Amino acid sequence: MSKWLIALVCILIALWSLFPAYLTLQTSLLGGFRIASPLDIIPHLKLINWRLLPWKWFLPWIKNSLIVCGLFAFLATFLTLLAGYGFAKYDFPGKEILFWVLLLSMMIPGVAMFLPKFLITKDLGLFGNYGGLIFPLYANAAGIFLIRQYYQSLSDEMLDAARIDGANEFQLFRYIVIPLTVSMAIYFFVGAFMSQWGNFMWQFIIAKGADLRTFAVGSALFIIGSTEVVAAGSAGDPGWLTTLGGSVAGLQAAMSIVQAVPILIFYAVGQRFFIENLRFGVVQE
Amino acid sequence: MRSHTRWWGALMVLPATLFILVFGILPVFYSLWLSFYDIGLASRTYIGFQNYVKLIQEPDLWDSIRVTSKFVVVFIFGEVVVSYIIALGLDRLNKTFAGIMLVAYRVPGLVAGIATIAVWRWIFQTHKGGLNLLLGRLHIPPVSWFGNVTTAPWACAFIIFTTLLTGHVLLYMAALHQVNPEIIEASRLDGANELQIIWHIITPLTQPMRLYILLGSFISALQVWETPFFFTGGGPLGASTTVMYKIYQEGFLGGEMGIGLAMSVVMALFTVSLSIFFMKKLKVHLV
Repeated sequence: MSKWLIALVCILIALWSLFPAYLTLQTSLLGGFRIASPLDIIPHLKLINWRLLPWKWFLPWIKNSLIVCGLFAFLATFLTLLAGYGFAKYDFPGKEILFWVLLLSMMIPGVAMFLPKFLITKDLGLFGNYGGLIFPLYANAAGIFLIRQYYQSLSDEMLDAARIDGANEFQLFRYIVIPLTVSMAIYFFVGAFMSQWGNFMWQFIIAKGADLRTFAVGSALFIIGSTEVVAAGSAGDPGWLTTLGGSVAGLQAAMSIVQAVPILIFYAVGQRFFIENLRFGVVQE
Repeated sequence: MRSHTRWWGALMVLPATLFILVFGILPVFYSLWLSFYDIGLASRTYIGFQNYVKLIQEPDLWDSIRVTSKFVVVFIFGEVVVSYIIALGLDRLNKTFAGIMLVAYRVPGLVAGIATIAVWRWIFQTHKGGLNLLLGRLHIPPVSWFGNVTTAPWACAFIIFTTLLTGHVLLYMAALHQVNPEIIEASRLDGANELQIIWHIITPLTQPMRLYILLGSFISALQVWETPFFFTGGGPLGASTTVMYKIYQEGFLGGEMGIGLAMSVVMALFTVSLSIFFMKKLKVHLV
């Protein structure tokens, strides 16, 4: 009996969790926010809001987001695995100090430091270009510590065997260590990519001008401002939207969904690796 | 290990360390250094502690701390308390069912931010907004949720709260799985009821995970910036200006850069000491 009650509460929480997503979807399909049942949507379904979305704007936004998120994810994954391996399997002078320095970086919250970080980025000549959107994001050593613990469990005999066969240390990393940690690498890549896809704050501050506008910045400005919606129409005629049967709310809802879909796809793809590694991470606590 | 291979280690660690030094650690010292200057467009004049003196005297500062502490309360309530209760419930149920629920629970956290702006704006809208329509049925007059000093910070906090309460259920469930079922069985034989078992046995045993979540929760609450940016612009009358939003105002919206940097320094010192405090409690051995 009490089990059924708990299950019911859990289902209600799940519905509550999905409710904003449902409301957004039905708004994009009905035009205008209101609470309607799924049965209500089918007879009144119209795709006008989806057809009116400024699809031609998406291409440059997506290009910028792919460049920023993709390059960052690649850079972060490579540097993290490399450093984690270096820390796990080698001894070198100054290792202790570097270790504590990296540990300190984990205690400094990234967002809270955005103002001095912005000034440093500007001083380095990275303001308003791809470099500024990508490099300053690599500022935290949490991944290095995670991967280091994993690499410590790699067998030294195996690595030594490869050394005897004439592999140099970088080849060892490239041809033995990385293939053994593909799932970890994918996890880092997906996580890094997802974390930047919606990183509005940094992209908004650094990308001045429309050329560098990413999907996060473009879609957020579209959703915030109705002037952007009107500008999407032809000839700046404010009445164009209603004459065609669309609505500002419907367009903004459709845009919200377009923004969220890549995250959900990436999550679905990366989930296997995510859960695999999360379990590993929890064991380390 | 042969002696020349040790340099490979240093070489491998170097690139990542360089990035983290410049973009992770240098900002703290850079803001510390610049916080002693009056920063104009082209000139920097040394003014000693004046930025800090100004900062303390500014009434807005204490208001922003008050607003941020509201977020801290909401974050901790959602992530530490509610998540735990949900995890306790879900843990008693069928595994497949729990798995399906966990997928649904992940959604708000994943799509939080940009994708939910539109829907929350409509819910809290004054004219024909979702919440006011609902209240209208109960004959309660419409409230301007974002335009009102009392409700604006709580409306912002509520928007974040919906993404918080299910965010850490998975982590708590992982901690619950590590509790030895024999201990629970033994206390049940000794006559303890469900609530006593939860309060006296399961809760203390999952304490490390709770502290870990508490620390993360506290730090994320200090960093709230997007919600006031998207929904209220920090207003009305600064009622939803968090510490981070105030730093943004000082740095980018025509405030005083020096004050913004001084605030960044204080923020860094506060979070680092918070982390050290919690890590001592957690007895974390990272090395």
